[in-house]
Amino acid sequence: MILWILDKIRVALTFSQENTPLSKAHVGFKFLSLILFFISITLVDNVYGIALISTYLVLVTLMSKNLRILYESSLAVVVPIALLGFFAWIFSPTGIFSYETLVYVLSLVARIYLLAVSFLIMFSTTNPSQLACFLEKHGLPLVFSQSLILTWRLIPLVLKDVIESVMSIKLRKFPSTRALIPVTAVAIERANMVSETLYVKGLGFKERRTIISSPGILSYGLILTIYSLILLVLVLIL
Amino acid sequence: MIKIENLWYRYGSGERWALKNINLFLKPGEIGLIVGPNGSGKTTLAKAIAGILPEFYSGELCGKVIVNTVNVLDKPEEAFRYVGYVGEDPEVQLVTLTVKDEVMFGPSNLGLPLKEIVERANWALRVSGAENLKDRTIFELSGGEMQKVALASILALKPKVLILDEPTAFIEAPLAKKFYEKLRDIAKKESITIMLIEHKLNHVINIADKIFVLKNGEIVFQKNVKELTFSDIMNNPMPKPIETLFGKIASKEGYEAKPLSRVVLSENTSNIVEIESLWYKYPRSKNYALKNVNLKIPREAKVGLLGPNGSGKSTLIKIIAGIIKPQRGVIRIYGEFLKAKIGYVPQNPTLSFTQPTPYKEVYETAKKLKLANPEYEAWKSLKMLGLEEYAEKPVLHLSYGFRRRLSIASALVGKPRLLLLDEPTAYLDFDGKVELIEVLNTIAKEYKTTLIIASHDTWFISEICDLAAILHRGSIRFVGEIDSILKLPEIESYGIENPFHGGVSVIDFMDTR
Repeated sequence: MILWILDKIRVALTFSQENTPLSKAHVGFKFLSLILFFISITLVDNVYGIALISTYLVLVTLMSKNLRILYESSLAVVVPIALLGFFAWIFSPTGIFSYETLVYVLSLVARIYLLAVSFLIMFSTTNPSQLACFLEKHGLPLVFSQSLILTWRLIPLVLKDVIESVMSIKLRKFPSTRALIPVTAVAIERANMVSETLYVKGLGFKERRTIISSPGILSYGLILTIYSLILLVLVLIL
Repeated sequence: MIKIENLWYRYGSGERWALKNINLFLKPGEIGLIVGPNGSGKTTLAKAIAGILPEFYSGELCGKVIVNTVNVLDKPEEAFRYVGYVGEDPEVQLVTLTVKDEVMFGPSNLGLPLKEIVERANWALRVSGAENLKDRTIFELSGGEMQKVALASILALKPKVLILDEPTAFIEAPLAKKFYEKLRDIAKKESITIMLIEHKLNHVINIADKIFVLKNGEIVFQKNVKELTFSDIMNNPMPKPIETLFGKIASKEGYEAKPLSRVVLSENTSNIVEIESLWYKYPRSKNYALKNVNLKIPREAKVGLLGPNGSGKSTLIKIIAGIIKPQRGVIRIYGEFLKAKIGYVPQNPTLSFTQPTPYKEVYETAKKLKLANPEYEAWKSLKMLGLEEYAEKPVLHLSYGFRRRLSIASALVGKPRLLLLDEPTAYLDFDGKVELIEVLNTIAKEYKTTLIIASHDTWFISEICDLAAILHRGSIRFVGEIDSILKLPEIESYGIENPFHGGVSVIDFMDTR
């Protein structure tokens, strides 16, 4: 089961290079809209509000032009969220079979699902180099922007290693937990080699780098931001 | 220009010198070939020149490495301006998510104008044969494709000295040949000094100017390639021409020549693996990695999966091993208690290690598999792979080639019925390959093991396998006996080298010189 979850998370975090409005949207506005959406989600406290903010996920999916990304992102979060919902239900202070508990659990699950899936879709359709260039241009130190890219690059790689290592050592009758040893060793070795690579490729030797990625199309970014702003206002009114 | 004077290096954790009194000189535009067995110090030398050693590793370092008037040991931060280094493992040399970003990354760090960066990126992609990968993401690339992109990303920096550590370990032979020809041109036109670390002499013998042979950290032999004689090759620890091995391998005691143990394809053969209409697509990828694959593997057969990079060889091996699940199709593995009898050797051997030393690794595996005498079996396996000397060394201190051997040793100790090997020859030195051929043939014969080997090394496959399947762009194009495959007139059009007709014969090269 853990391998299945890891594999789904790996798939959901894998960068998807599609030529869609969501991939092309201005990266700054894209993440601004996500922040506004996050605020809306934390503020919403009723079923109507949840129904309203779920339209953001519909918009994001439509702009990604790919239902499969929605499906893959949902698979990655379904088990952890279901477990969370289950524990929230059985430990509910208002009783297991009460209406309040039902509403509380459903709204909790729905809010976390909407947030997690929207984040996953946004992240997997954004080229981190584009985001890093944008942030660097606006004053974020180079070391942070490059770390961002590397995290994106290495998370699916580590998850892939975990799966391959577990399968390889299971065939030799070792318990799956043993995979932690080679995976950690490989991750540390990789981290060292990646830093060697960054050094060889001259990262950090010059203060000014050339910005090679454009931030994206403004209009698509604005659509997302304005929509999330409207949602926030409506949530505040409701 | 590179000039190395009295270079000595000892790792912080090591007792012996990894490099001993290295002296070498290469002029601009010259290509130096560095050969030597696994663990001889080739990669350490490369890292010293690239300025990586003093910056990243503790240890004792003395001597001079002068690159374009700068001693990189004193000023390692200057090294990147002049030296480009492409290491062994391509996966860790890609630090962005798309091919385009990767190739532009280095020049962007130099602060060059965007127009020049784009021009350099296009040139580098063209030279390294990776132009068709331009619009791909890194996650979609096979090992060989990653290697091409890693190379392109360094070439885009237009270094004065280029160090390539087995740049074609995962690249199919016809492309490797073209790549080396291009390299000769680049060295000449751009006056780039190139240091090439290689385990194969064919393809590089005709482009190199000087050859340096390393053993135990020392240059034991160096000569101009033009003056190289056949006896120099045979009497020094350097890769031998495959033509000289026919007698050697076949005459080894206990080794039966391949035709005697031959499995032939027939309707009545009982199969150990059956694959029907198999399709597989990597997540977020546009294309299928495997398309409608149908394959039957007879029991006790030795089957090679041949094909160029990205053809689906490793994917198919992983599906048979159960690591990835196909989207469509059926795979059946037959045999009683077979699950306990599958051995898998991954492309990255370190992923299979669970113990601190090689002995413990193999011994614990033997114990887990409930073998009668685990200690004996562990030593037997280590001995087979030439690892006794390294039995108590920390596994992470082993070179990549020795790690590969250890991974194979621990997969073999359980005498598996089905052994899956994913690119087992990558980073293995020449003697290591010859030993591996003998080991796999012995294992297959003694334990009646079915072998499935994914490799682009046609010679290696031809020395072991009875049958082979050619994979091309995710589809199986041909399945048959290895001899008939080698006779296929179109074999090279599938990106597969004919080891006896392709490349450059070292002997022919010497004769015609």
